[in-house]
Amino acid sequence: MATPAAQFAEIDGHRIRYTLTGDAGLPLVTFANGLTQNADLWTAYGAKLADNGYRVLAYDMLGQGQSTKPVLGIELTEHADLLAGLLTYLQVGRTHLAGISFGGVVALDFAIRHGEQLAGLAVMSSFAELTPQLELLGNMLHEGLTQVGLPYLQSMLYPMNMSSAWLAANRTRIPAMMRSGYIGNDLYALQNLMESFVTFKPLTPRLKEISAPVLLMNGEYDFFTPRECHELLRRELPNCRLTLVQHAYHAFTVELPDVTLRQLHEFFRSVDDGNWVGDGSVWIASDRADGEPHAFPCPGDHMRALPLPALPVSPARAPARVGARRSTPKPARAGSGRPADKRRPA
Amino acid sequence: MILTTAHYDKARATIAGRGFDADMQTRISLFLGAAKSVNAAILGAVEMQPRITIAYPFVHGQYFREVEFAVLLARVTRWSSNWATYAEGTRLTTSLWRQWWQIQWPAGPTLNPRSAYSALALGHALLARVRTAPLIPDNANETDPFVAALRRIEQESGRMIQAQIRLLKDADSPLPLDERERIIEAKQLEVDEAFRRFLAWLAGDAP
Repeated sequence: MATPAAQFAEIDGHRIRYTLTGDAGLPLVTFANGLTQNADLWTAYGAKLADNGYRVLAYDMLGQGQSTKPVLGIELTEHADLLAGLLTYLQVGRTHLAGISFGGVVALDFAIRHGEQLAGLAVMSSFAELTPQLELLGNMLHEGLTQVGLPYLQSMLYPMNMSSAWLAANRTRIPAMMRSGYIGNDLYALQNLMESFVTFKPLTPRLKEISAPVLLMNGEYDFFTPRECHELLRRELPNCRLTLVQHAYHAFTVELPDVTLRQLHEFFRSVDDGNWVGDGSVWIASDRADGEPHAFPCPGDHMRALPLPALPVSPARAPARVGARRSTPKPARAGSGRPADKRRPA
Repeated sequence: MILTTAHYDKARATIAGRGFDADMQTRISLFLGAAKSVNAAILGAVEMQPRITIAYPFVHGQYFREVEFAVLLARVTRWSSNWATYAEGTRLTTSLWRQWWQIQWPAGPTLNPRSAYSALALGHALLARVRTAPLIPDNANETDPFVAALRRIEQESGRMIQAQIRLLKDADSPLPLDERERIIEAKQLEVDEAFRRFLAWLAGDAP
C-alpha cells in the first residue's frame, strides 16, 4: 500500500498533521507517539494493519513534527482533548488507541476522560505516575536538553531505548536518523512537552474508571519505564492484561515492529470479535512474527529480572530464606476469565 | 510553507557535491551572520537599559556570544569574489533586518510591551529555526575551521535560547496569552520563510 499523503486539520486553533491509511468504515486504530517521534514512525504499522482490515490514524501530536509547536507551554491534558477533537473532526467514531511512552500517558488520559470514543487501548512502555526513578530520569533528560542541547538528548535516548544488537546493526544509520529527528523536532517544543509533567497529576486514582480492554506491553529489559510502572497499571486497570516483549528495551515499537504489530493485531482482533479476556494475567510475547501461539503465559515472577520462580507470598511480607522451598508456579491460563497471578496485590 | 527535511536534504546534497567552496561558505555566513547580528542588535538594546533584572546576566552573556559568532564567521569564512552572491545574500537577509526595524518603530521595545515581546520572539525564532548543522554533509572535514564554527554556533544557540524561552514563558507581560502566542508564531513564520528561501538558494533553486 502506498504511503498516505499527510493532511492537516485545524483543531482548537492548532494545526495538526495526520495520515489516514486504509478504507473508511473499517475499524480504526490510532497511534499516539513517544516524546521525540512523529506520525511517520507508524507508516509500516499502518500499511500492515490496513492490509488486515483496519484503518489507521497517525498524527503529529502538539509540539511534534509539523503540528503546531506552542512556545508558551502545553498542558498535558491538551493532548487527549486534541485527539478527541481530531476524531470528531474526522467523523470516524470509536477507535482503538495505541500509545507508547509519552503517548501511552496521553492514551491513558484519553481513556479516562474520553472513554466513549475508545474501543480498545494498548499502552506500551508507559506509566500512570512518576515513580522516583522515572522522575529523576526525566529531570536528567530535561537538564540534558536545556543545558547541553537537543543532539545530546538524542544521544542519550538511543542507548537508553534500544538494545546493543540494534545499535550495532544500525550504527551507520544512526547519524542520519538523529539528523532527521533534529530537523523534525524543536528544542523548545520538546522542552514544553517535558515541562508539562511539572503539573502532571498521577492518573493512578482514576485508572479504575477505564472500562475498555487494555493491553499493557513492557519490554523485557526496559529500564526507562521498568516493570514496576506497568505492574502499577496492571493492578489498577480493571480489564487488562500485561504482555512482556522478549529481548526488548523501551522503544520496541521501533526495534521489533513485526513482533509488536502482531501483539497489537491479536489484541484488536480479540476485542472486535468479543473474545477479549481482561483478567490481569501476565503473558510473554512470542519473539516470532508468525506461528502459534502469539503469546504464552508467564511462568515465573514477572517482577524479577533474575530467572527465579514466583514466590508463594509477597517477599515484603515474608522474606525468602536460603534453602526455603518454593512452590512450582502455575502458568496463567488463557481465557480463564479470572486472575491467573495469585500474588496480584490488593 | 512548513520547513521539512526535504528542504535541508536538497541543500545538503548540493554542498556534498561541491564541498564548502568559497561561494557556499559566503552564502552560509551571510545568512547565519545576519541572524546573529540581528539578535545581537536586539540584545544590545537591553545592554543600554539602566535596569538590572535577574535576566540580565543571561541576556548580557548572549549578546557577547552573538557578537563573537558574527566575528568568528567573518574570520573563518573563505569569502567569495562573486559580487552577485553578496547581492543575493543581502536580499535574502533583508527580511530579518526589516523585522527588527519594524519592532523599533515608536514607541519601540523600551516603552512598548508589545514591541519588547516581539523583539524577544524574534530572537527566539532566530535561535530556534536558523539551524545550519544539519547542512553539513557526511564527507565534510570536521576539523575545517568553517565546519567547526558551524557546529560550535549551533550547539551554543541550543543553550542560549533558554533565556528567550524563560522570558517568553515566565516574564511578566501585560499582553494576553493569545496575543503573545500570535506574536511568537508570526515571528517564527517570518524567520522560517527567510530560512526556507536561504535553503533553496544553497540548493541552487530559485528562491
